Amino acid sequence: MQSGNQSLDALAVNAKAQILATESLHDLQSLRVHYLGKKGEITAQLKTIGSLSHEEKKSFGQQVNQLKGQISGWLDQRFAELEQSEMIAKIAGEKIDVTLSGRQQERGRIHPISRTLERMESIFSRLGFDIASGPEVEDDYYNFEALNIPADHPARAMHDTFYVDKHTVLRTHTSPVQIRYMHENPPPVRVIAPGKVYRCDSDVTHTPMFHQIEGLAIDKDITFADLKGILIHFVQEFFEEDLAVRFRPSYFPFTEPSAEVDIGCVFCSGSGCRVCKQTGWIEVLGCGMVHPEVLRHGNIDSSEYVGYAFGMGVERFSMLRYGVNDLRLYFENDLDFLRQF
Amino acid sequence: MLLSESWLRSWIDTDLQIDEIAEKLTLAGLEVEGVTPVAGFDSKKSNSRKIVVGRIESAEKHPDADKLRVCRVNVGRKNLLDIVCGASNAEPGTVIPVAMVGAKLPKLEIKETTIRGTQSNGMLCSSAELGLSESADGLMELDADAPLGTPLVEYLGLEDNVIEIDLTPNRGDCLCIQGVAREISALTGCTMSLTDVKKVPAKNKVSLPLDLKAPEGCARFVGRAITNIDIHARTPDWMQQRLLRSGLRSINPVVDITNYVMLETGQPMHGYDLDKIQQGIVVRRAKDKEKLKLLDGSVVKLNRHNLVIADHKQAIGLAGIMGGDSTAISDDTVNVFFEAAFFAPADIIGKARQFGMHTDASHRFERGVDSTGQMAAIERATALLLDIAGGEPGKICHAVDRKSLPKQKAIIFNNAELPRVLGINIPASSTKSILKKLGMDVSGVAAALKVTPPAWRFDITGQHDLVEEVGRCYGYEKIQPRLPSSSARTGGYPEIDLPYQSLKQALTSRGYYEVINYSFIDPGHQELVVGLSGGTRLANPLADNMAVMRQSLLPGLLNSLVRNQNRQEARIRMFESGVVFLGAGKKRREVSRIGAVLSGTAYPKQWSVDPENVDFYDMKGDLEALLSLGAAGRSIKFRAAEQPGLHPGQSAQILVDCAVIGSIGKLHPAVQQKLGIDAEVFVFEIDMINLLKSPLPVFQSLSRFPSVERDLAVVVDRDVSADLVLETVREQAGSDLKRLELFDMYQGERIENNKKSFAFSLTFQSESSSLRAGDIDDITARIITALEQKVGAQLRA
Repeated sequence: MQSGNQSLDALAVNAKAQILATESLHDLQSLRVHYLGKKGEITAQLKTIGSLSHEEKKSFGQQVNQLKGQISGWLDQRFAELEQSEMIAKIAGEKIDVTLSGRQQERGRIHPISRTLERMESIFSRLGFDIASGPEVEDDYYNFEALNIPADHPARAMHDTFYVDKHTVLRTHTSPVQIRYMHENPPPVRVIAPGKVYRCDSDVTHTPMFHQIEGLAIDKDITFADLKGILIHFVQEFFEEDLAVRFRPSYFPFTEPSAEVDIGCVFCSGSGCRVCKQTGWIEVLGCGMVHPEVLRHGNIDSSEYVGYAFGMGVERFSMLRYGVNDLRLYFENDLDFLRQF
Repeated sequence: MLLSESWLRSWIDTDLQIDEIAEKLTLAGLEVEGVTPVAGFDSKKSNSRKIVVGRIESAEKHPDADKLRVCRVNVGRKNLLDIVCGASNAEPGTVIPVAMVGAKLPKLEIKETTIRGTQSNGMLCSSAELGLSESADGLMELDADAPLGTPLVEYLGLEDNVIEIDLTPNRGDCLCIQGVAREISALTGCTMSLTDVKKVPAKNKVSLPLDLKAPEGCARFVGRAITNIDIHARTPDWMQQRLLRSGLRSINPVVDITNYVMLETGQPMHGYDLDKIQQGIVVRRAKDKEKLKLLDGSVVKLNRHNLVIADHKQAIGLAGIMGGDSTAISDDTVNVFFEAAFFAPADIIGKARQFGMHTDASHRFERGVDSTGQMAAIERATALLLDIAGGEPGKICHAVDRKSLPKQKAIIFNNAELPRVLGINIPASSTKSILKKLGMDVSGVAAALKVTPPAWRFDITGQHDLVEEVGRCYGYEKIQPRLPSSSARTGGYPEIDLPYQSLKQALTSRGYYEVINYSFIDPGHQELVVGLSGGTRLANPLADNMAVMRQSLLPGLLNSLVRNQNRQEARIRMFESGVVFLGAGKKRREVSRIGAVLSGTAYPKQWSVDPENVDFYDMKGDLEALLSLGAAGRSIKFRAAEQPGLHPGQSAQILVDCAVIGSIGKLHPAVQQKLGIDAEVFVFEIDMINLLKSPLPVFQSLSRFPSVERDLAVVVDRDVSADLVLETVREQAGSDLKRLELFDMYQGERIENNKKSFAFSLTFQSESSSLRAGDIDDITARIITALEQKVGAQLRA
């Protein structure tokens, strides 16, 4: 009896020491088998029970069961401890350098002209303008005649025209879309026409191809005041600035009255710099009230309807917006340039 | 146009500063582009007065320098100045500008100095050294009677500005001092100086008979002979200065005076050598192929549409454009004949350009010259010539065909046009007053003002012209801007319309950069790259390599690729969207396309991905991403097909709903080599037009039953396409097949030569029941049988 109790005590001490000193889940599992397995220490102790008296049996049995519970508890405790420290170790081993770059595919870019065009289109869209397009190889009639620029008109000298044949040109402006649109859409009309245009001119400030946006609005109650309203709103929204805007009388064969629009220089805020040639103003677009002759070519009665039209260079707006100082860069397509947008 | 401020001010009486005048003109449509001081030095500073008029009294060779002379110069003081000078025209008696010690020239300050041992107390100046001209040939010679010692600033009126006006083509009337003065007077209300033209009575009866044979082109010709002039007379400094400030150099008194009168009045003139004119003047049409040698030495071949001034023998001038060589003023000229004519704009327009010319005269006649101003111009020129070069005036020769002169038609103007077009209310009385100031004759009532424009305004023909005149004089800045009311209809578009931007974004998100190339390209390059010739050719290209309109986006894209490769970019992905120009003549059409080029590694160099070069399937994957947007829900097929410029074994046509929309492939190695491209290049190009619709989604209920997956691997001949295998599977699989994924392709040593193996996984799911293993087995068996029969497949163990 004594010896039995003593050996149980020793077993308990040993077991506790061993279990709590175990450093791996694997060893712990071995200990579980060693103590609690079918051939383990607890079972061995229970096997000695046959030699005991009935009284002793009961007490010894209780003690062994208690010990079994204790060992199981130590094992569970140690298991939880080891599991946690293993998780900690595993996590510690999985630490990475989060500053290494992510798996990359390069992001391409939309061309700055497209970017500028999209911005311009979206502003006009919100003002209720539809978007139209027209051919780039254009009939002389639409490019000149119908726009009140008859053959040999001095204004033709302002357009260095590429010819395909005697009656076919590369459009020198987006204005022919005005006529085409009028032919297909009865007034009221409110439309913009973005696109490529061509002039036979190439130097530091001219490329033989560039982009324009044309605008046309025709209705019974449209006036120059509306033209001013739309365009002031447009340039201020485009540049996100309350820029000064000035309408300066000018001449285009297809509008009358005509105006050129200057904005307060975006680089020097009007105080005078190289870009604005010390004037404080930068010319950005041409506009005017649609000439009655043009309305007539569009089959619209000019005594009933009034219209305004405007045209602007996309490159100009883009250069001013992003500070690009060389027009030719837009068509050289250097990736170093394109990556900047 | 350039004009001198002081000349302009001599015509108007105003206290306005020059920048105020410039602003007024600009805001009235005469854009002042610049106001530049005449002198290259600061004419307001006191040291500018150290530049004075001087006369060389003697000039002796420098003792120590062959090319230098020591001049003794009289600057109106007791003592003469010793000045060393190297100019060849530093001759005794010459009157010149002298920069005395202390003077500051544009590029140097004058100090006492010693030149090769001789003291020099100043500098004799050329016009370039004074900043009065770009270049100069020797010292600037002044009038012999110029007052010695007078500051040059005073003598030449150098406290002046050159005003540069960018005139629009409709305002030919402002191509002269008088016109701009008129405009300022109308805009500011200031008075114009009275400029009554002095009539010069004839001293003799010398004249020429005039014959207007083409009055529709020349309705008025005024001429006058002036005999015994001194062609070697010096054009006085004041006139030379005014010409110079207008951008013209002095040539001889006759030419200078015709130019001067043109600049002043807007009436182009011409001076002939009277003795070289045979008998009389005839203004007539040229004969076809008639030749005429012009003043500038060029010979033009005329046709019957050209208007010429002729004598009784030959053409002696191209009317309104340039005089002829045979009657030109020369050093021997003694008797001259002045011409001031009115040529109809319609007759001059385009004619100068026909001969590649553009002259001050043609510029003005094209835009319209006052048909009543010829007589005054002749009188003015006569008076000037007599003053400068002497001579005796003959009687004025005047031929006119009144019915051919332009008529100033009255315009009936309704004042209500102003609110209708401009959105402003201006009382008729103000309208009248504005128009009258512009020289128009106005009468009548508000609803029907009768307005007759002056003879110099060729641009005013209808109500709209008057609206503009009133508007610009009233001031555009006073028109209150009006924003569109909220009721303005806004543009809407159908949900199935795919914005083209989304296609571009699909490509940029896969690493592609958008480029924009010129639409005209090199025909040889186009033929090499895409095998296309013909098409739309430009009649006047800028260069041979910009001569045809592109029929494909690829030549431009490949150019951009080469350019970037040459800038050491190894990894290139670029796309372009734009139109190409197919067919020619009446069959020409413009088609919107999107194209791309791909070269280099599949991923940028980075620690986490092995560097591998792109292949066909990288490009195809990018294109499929595009098609998954633009051709969603439609049948998309890639059909192996040889394409010009592409590798025959790695190129395909793309079919959407059975229609070819473009092609894809590897650039042919030979083409790649010819273009000097280092790495393999893959390209595609497709029509955009059919890719801008994406169907509305239609909801289908979700299955509640589990799915079952089976994998199959088969071996087929190498030339059996994956498409064919998958199609065969699909045909047999029935409607419960939810997904079919080809996840492995193998060809190599582990299987027979000329064979390849495909492995794919099939996922089945029914919407109405759980699928049983037996059912799936049956379907799988059917698939295997079909594969064996149709494509000769063997099930792979």
